Amino acid sequence: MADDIDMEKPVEKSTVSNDCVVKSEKMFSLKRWNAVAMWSWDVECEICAICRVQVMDACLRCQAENRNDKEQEECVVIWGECNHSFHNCCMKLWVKQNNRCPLCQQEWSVQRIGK
Amino acid sequence: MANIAVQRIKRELKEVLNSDEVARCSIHVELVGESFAELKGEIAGPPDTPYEGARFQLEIKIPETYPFNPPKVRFVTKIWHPNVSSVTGAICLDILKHQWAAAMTLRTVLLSLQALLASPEPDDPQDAVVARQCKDKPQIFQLTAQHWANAYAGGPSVNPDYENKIRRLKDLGVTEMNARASLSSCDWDLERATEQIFS
Repeated sequence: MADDIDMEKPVEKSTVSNDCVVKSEKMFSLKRWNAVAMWSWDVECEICAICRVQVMDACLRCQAENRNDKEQEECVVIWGECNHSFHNCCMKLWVKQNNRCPLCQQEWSVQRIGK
Repeated sequence: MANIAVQRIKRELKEVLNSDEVARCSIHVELVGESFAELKGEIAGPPDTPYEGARFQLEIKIPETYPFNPPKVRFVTKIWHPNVSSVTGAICLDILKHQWAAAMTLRTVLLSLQALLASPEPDDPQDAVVARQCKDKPQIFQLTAQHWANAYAGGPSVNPDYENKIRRLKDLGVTEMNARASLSSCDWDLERATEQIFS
């Protein structure tokens, strides 16, 4: 993300003497700049507490079953009303025996599904 | 063993080994064999409890369905505690049963067991005899727990009076373990313990 930029009007050193401005050599010109951005997934918890893998990656089971990229893309994230997120695959197995959020123990109800 | 269980255990072992508690020698966990189905845990007795200075070994068995079902944990080291069987080491703790959550880990389990040692729940007991003593005679319970910690878990506290009573039963041909268990359940009344053993 580096761009070379030539300043149209380079900054110049000016001196004032007896009411007249004398222009001298320029102090600097900006040759190049680098922008650095920090980002993170827009979720409250980045790791699925059930399989301990990043929620935006495929879950452990999907990875272990050597599914292809397209199938792994179907391993989506599920958000509860409590705002906790997990892999949908992981959560499906968990709610079979306990309909509570594994993190806060609130009654589990789905807010939305999808990455 | 299911791949998700194995991968979870691998990650959790790393988590425990990198934790502050391991650095403070408060908890420890290691594999037994190479199957990831069985582990050996160890917790230090919490400070300001009768278990202080002692170290307790735990047997941890990981089910195929982990982390959707809890690990099976029991004390290998004998302990005098209302929520742990003084005979088998079985533990009565809600998070190891109906209150288990898939988000819990080996580290949180070991820390919960440490917390259980610090605050017993005699109203929800695993060992009714210990629970009764804990509620009715708390001073004797404290001394008994301290004595067991010394005898079985390397605790620092020695009670000469209790040692003497055990010796007297041993002179009658009773094994040390049976003598200790009997005296403990009879609140260290030598006559009652003798009667219980020989009746």
